[in-house]
Amino acid sequence: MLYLAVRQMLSRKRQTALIFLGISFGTMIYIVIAGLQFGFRGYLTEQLLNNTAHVLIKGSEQNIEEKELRPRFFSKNIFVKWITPPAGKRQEAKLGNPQGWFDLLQKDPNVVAYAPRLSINGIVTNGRYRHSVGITGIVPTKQMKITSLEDYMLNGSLKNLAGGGSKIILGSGVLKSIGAKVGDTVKLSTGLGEARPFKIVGKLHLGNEQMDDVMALGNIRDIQALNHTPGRVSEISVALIDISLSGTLAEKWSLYTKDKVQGWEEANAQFMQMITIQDIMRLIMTGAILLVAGFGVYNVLSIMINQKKKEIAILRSIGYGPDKILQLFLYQGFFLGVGGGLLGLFFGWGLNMLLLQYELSFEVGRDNHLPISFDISIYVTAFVAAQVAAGIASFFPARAASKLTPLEIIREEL
Amino acid sequence: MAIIGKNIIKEFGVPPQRVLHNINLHIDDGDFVSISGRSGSGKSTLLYLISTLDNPTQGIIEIDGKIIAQMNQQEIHHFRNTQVGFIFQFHFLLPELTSLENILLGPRNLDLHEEKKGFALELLEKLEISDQVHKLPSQMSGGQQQRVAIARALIMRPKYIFADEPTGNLDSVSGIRVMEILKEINKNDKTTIVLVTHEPDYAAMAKQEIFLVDGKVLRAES
Repeated sequence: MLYLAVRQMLSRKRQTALIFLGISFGTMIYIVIAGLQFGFRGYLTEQLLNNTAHVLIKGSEQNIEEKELRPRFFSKNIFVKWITPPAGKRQEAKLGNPQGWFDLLQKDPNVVAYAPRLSINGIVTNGRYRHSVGITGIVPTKQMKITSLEDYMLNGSLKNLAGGGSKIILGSGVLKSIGAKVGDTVKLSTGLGEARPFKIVGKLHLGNEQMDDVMALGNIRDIQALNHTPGRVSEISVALIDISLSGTLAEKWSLYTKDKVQGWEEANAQFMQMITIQDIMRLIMTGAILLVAGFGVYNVLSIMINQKKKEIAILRSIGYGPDKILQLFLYQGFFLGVGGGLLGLFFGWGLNMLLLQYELSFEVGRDNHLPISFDISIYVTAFVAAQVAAGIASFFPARAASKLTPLEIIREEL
Repeated sequence: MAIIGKNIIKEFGVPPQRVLHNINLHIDDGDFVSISGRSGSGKSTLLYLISTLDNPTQGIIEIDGKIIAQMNQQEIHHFRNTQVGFIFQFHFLLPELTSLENILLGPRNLDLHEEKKGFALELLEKLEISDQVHKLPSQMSGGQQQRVAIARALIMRPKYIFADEPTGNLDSVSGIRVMEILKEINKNDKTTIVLVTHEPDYAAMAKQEIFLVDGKVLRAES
């Protein structure tokens, strides 16, 4: 039946080409949209993971509350109405027992790496120019294991911070704002004590203006000294073997401590919601596209079967059973699905390559091109979906054709 | 061996309308039988019943000692594929296939198309359309198309040919030629032919004539 199926398709070049195009268009659209969505998602995830890690352990902030102070100043029987209620941070967030965490994380088989950090706010000064920054003290070798920040270094390397010695890496926006360059020495202050000189040993450019305008990285020991808080760790970033375990592990670890342990998904709940919405949208769109493509196959095959009734009758009368007739049209659906799917893969890939060439007026990550994913799973999904749509769409008309008896067709013709 | 019909009754519709009334027939191997009658007399219905395309409402039809109603679908398909050749009023050729490919459709179902190719060319020669081997149906005349259909019916060297008004769509010259071909096949190959026609002249060319009126056999002549 393969032979006949091919001959029938070749004899209807226009119809065949139209279905081919319908299926390939659907496949192509899926690839382009999924490529863009996954590309953006990858970019955003990377950006977020550079800052939040798979699991983030941080000291919980303690605030002064009314109920704590009330018994110290007033007896139980007095009604108190505060004109200015007591408020404010008790102290900066810090981990209670960082070493305890290090020991735990070192032993946990789910952990790939971890990196302690101290995050504080400060001011960087270069001559007359001042700029407020978010200073993060890191252990360079450990930080490099859990983030891809090294990939975003325009000058220098995170390794330059190893060993301390008052060195700093600044975001490209910060450098621009204070008119400094790598190699210059700037002053850093936190408001506590005197400003200290730091040598700029690197330039970081994440392509995210908000980050590039405030980012300052230093060796954790230098930043602890600058902040007059030796040994203090405000957070530990943890990288896991399986990121999907982040929620479960965060929940488990939070049982041991008062520190705040957040899984990646919890810390980025909004982002996860956005991803879910994106997934739903993509599924709806894919469904709609495949429905249209499938309907095209169904329509054309149904029309063709109607036109081919006489031929079906003769095939049945010379001994071709219903199974053979079913095969005849299923083969055609299969070829249309495979051909259209393959063509769609090629078109989708080609269009994505073209889009990749398009230069944006702003930067996204490392450059100013659209982040497009070429993940193989997108292409596999698109191809399989095209086959399923074509398969289902061809099955029903094929089954209807196989049920036709030669006699009812012959009688129709007479 | 033969085709035997006993008390064949065929009804259609609701309420049932009887189209054939207690038909009895006996067609021997190598016979040439014509079934004729006016339009609506039931001649085509009778042909479809004895050719396994349809089942009677009542009665028994035996072919080569087997009761058709007791044959399963596989047996019927195999029987049609190997023992039967059909020729219809409309040639029913597959428009995307050449004459040769159309003729070889039956053998292709049994993977015998390569083996039967020589015989197909022989048939085309015999039917005087050897110059049409690679032509599509749309490139041939009605008479030539019907001859290709006859070649398709003969390719498996069937024991039976069932022809339903094979000349109905042809001009008189082509019609006579088709009838001559059928006679030759019957004479030379001893193929049993059952022909439905409303043309008395063609019916008279058969060895046995069955004349139907309103679903009943008015006369059967040998």
